[in-house]
Amino acid sequence: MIGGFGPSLAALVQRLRGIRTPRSARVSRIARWLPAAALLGAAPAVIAAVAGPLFGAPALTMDDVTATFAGSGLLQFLLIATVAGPLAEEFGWRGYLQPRLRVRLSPVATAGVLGTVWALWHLPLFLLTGTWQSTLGPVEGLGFLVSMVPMSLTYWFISERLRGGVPAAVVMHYAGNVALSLLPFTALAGGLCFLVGVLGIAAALLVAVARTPAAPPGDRPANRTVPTGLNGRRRTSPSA
Amino acid sequence: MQAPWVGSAHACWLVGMTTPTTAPARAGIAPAPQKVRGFIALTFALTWAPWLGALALGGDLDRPSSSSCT
Repeated sequence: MIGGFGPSLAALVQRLRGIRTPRSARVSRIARWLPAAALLGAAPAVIAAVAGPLFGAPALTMDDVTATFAGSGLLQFLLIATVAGPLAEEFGWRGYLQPRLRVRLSPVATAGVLGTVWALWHLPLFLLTGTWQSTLGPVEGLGFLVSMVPMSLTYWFISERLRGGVPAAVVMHYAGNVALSLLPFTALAGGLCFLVGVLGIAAALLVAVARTPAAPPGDRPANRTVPTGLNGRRRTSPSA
Repeated sequence: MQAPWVGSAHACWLVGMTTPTTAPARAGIAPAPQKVRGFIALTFALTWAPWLGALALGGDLDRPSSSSCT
């Protein structure tokens, strides 16, 4: 449990060393990023739960859903789901690392690097008895690790593009963990549907980003270059 | 006539691979690869030390509900 705080702890250490990261979250945009983060976080598990049975996975029962918190109680389950993962990681991944990778890399390249680091970071959990990862088979485990790259693109979308910052990433991570705990894979088909869901969401977001302007005028600093979001060319916004 | 998806795919390629750096650059974060590498090293050290320690001690966290995070 303690080790899981590594990313946020490392971000805190960097902050104490004087390395600051400007806040990217916009409270004024909460009506956009909050529902998007919750929905996009939960969507892959919901897709897997719905589509899995169509490809041979056993359908989930209410007992499967409630089994997750049957032992500990719902409140403790939700509390742990908030801390383990969302708060323990996101200040590091999306709060510290993502903005620094984005200084030099495109969103897709950033998702590639961050997703790979994020996946490698999880590896020991596959060897530790009692973790969710240790219950996965080799194919499901590989799918879980691979899904972290496209998932990182979705995190980029809600944290940077929708101006949700770390709070949006925390919400998305929380929604994803809760959904995956309540709607666990019951077969390989479910895991594959989860991976396809993650890939589909990332692809859909890329299409959406390609078709919409980068930022509303109110978010653009004066006399700075911003992307059009369509062709990668920069343009200069008018002075305020 | 070009199929509609061709335009979308091309736009996705462009935005995905060539969109210039945006919000962080505007926010004033200077490119500093050593700070990225330092953060990653610190993160793995802070995380893997206790996890590998637990592994060396038997590899059982004994707390199933606390480790379902992704």
